[in-house]
Amino acid sequence: MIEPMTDATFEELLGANPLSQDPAFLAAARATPAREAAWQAACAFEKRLRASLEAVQAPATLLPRLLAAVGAEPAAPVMLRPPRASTGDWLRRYLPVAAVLLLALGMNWYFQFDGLQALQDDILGHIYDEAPYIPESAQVALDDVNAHLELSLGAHLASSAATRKLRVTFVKDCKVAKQVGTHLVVKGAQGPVNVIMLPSQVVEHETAIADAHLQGKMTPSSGHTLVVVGDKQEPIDEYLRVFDSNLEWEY
Amino acid sequence: MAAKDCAKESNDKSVIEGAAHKRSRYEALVREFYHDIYRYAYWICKSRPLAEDLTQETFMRAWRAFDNLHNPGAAKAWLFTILRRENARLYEKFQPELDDIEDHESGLPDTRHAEPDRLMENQLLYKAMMSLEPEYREPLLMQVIGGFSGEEIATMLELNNNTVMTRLFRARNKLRVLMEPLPVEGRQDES
Repeated sequence: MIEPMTDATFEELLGANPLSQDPAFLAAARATPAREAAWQAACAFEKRLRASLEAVQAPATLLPRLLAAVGAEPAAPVMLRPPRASTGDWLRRYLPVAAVLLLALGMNWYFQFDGLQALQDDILGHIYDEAPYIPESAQVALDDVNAHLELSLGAHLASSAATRKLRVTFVKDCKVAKQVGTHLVVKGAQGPVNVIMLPSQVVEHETAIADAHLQGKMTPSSGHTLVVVGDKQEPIDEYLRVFDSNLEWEY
Repeated sequence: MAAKDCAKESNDKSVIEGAAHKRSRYEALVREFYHDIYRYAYWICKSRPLAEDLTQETFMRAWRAFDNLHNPGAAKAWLFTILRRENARLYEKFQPELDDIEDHESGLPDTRHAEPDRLMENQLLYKAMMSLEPEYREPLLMQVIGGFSGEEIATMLELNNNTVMTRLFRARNKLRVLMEPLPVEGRQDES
């Protein structure tokens, strides 16, 4: 024997989803003329609500933009097999190409160096700016660290002997390298060890950064970037290995 | 040697085919969901240009992590989750709220060709939606635009199912009150 639905329950269900097709809800809606009238009114309101929310149309330029953004990356390498050429032809054809390539490589190296320097300055500048606000004695539990990472970056630190040993004293989202990343601070043997996780990949391979007081490394991590910076005496590689091998990115 | 070349060529071919297949699956995903993703982005970030950027960022992240999407049936929820996180990461914390009237007007849906009544209703709803607190607006948008059930919304928002149902109920009640036509001045005197 199914208990008849009370008015209060019916009203709650009606407000939560007037278009519900649940048989118990439909039966309750048809139980009395008053309920039926309230249900019809709620359905009419819902129709207006849906029509207004769906009146927002994506601009016509959006789909091409979305497809082109991914199209910038080639789907697969194109393999061409040109016919054999004589040495003279070869030189005539490829010498200018080689010269242009060399020039491009040189410029790329120059700008990359310049960009890396700016990136290093930005990261170290941020660490110095935040230093006065880092508590020495606080401890953030791994679950809380993960709750923050999940929300901000869609990532989490696996629970392992190495991560459980970390003493995290600070977690905050920060704007570094023109993007919003998460800045963790771990208590190290010589002082704070800063770990910055950036949502995009800003370096192609592991790259050292340093100044007169601090040393660190930036490394790509599953399409994102991991930065570890601490005192000159701190075993940075060890921290980098712990974070890189335990960070799991969802996307 | 010839056999080795042949094996390499076959391997290259399968890599190319795999990449092309991945691209075409991804494009199908974009075509299927970009309207809803854009709409949801628009209603949570309150601005057309931001909604476009947010939609693009969401799909770029989805592309980079496309191999992690093992269940195509969960694609929509996955995209909504990415969008919510990107919005929280990029805009919520680091941009001022766009809540003055000029921004409302510039952010209104493009309804130039709509009937006057419909236009007024859209404007009324726009203002009512924007004045809803995010905790009420978000589940309502997920239900109406995303078509998600209460349980799916609860999972995505990491809330209890009952909390979601209560928020949906309150969101609709608040909207209904906000969208009630204002009383006509002098009506009491006339009666």
